Amino acid sequence: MSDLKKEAFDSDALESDLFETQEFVLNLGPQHPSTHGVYRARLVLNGETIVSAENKIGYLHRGIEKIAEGLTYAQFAPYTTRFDYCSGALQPWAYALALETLGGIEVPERAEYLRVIVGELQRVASHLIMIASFALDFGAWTPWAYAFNAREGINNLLEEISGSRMLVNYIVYGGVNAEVPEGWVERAKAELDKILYRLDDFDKVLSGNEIFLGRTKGIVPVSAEEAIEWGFTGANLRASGVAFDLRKTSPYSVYDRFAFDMAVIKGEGDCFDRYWLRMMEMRESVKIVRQALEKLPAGECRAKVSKVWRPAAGEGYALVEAARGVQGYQVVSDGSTKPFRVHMRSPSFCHIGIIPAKAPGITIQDFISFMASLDFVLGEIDR
Amino acid sequence: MRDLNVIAAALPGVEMKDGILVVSADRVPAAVAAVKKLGDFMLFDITCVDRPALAAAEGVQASPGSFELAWRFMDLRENSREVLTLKAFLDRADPSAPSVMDIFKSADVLEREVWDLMGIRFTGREKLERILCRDDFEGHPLRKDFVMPKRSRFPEADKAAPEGAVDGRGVKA
Repeated sequence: MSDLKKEAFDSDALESDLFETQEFVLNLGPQHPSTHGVYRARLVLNGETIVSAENKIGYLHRGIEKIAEGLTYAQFAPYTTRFDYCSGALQPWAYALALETLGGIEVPERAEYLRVIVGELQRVASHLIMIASFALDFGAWTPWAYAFNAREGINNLLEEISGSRMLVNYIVYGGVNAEVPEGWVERAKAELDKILYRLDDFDKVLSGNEIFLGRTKGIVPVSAEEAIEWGFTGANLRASGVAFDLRKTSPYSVYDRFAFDMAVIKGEGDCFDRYWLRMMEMRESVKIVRQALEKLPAGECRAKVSKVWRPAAGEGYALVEAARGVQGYQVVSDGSTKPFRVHMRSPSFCHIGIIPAKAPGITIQDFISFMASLDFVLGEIDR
Repeated sequence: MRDLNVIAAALPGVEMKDGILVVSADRVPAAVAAVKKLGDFMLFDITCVDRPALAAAEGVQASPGSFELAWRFMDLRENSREVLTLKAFLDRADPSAPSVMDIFKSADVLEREVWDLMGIRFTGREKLERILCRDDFEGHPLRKDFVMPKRSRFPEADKAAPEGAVDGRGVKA
């Protein structure tokens, strides 16, 4: 082989004068399957390598926080499910907690258990979507079908109690909206076995798959310091090795009554860790639901609160561990029937903040892995 | 959260009023840097309330400023659901506060959100662009004096239809 040819095949030569390249701008999204919603990344590329990236969001901005100012407290609750539409049932929880702090409402014990059951089922469903779409981004179709099969069972359970499959408005201030139908507890228990069975299926087809590992292992690691600096919470924070989970570190509701482990990975914090952490967390969630179904006490499922409610003027701020991280609500009351100000602290909103800092130097395919592993939902970013 | 009195003593320029830490806007970076120095605190939210209408309501103490800006920190060490809140009250004429982006990087998107929706100007950072509303949007929608636009966002569509035009149902305009 001549020296010139040899040089041409040498990858370093690509950077040399032999091939002159030009930077160009690529708009990834807003309509692109791997952006998982109407997210746009404005990438400046040199070949396949990203030089710089910029977040372009707001395509789904509906001004829900402004809408809240014109509705009563009870009327606004269903709107909260529109934030993170992949985990609808978990969304009103933080809002309900903020209102309960504001008005000093005691929640009946049975309602707390039902909240935990519904919340954890929804967390599993939400993580299943993450794994499905994560795998799909690498061209793996089978896990998608498995995940949606398992999620279907959860959606059916949620439909039975609330009437809707995705935007589940079940958790309300003072407790939960309705009593569970007859036989629901047994059906839920049976569903848990199916979920565990499906989780094993993922391990068979995905977790050890060489292509999958090649696309995720060591890709865009986020260190613990970086994760804290950028405001990471939830699964992404724990995948970076920070042992922090509100359910465990400062339990709310009745989480202190269940035996479960906090899933945390002390590793690199790469895309695979973020995937694997969600797999671990789903198994823990199943444990929690099983115990809660066993222990479910009898009694009222909602405290006596009026539908048109006037809390005293003041401020309530509450946090819960939602599917994507710590979700917070600030509710300010002026003593009338409508909230003066509602603010939602969105975990995904902070997660995408890191993208412009991490993107330079990685290739587009790694960028796709990174985006999918962060598991953001545009509904709660854009609000 | 760790003991609030101990924290308050460690932060420069911070006064404690009824269990709330209040700081003047220009001393925010020093206070936030001191919070970071305490260790295991995460800046996870910046919230803003347009205050004047609320101050007039019954039962709420009138606040010296119009905008109540709050930096919220989560204690990763203990009792994390109690949020460490640092509040500053800003004048309505020129609501601005220094950026803390150099101290906590999470402030980048959070400050842009507050600028976009509330119109609080954060000084000393590279670029402060809108993040949720479109770039040519006028006003800051979560302010209480924001007037909801009556017209649609596509003004050309609101103009009178040309002579003889029919709409989707075949009805003459």
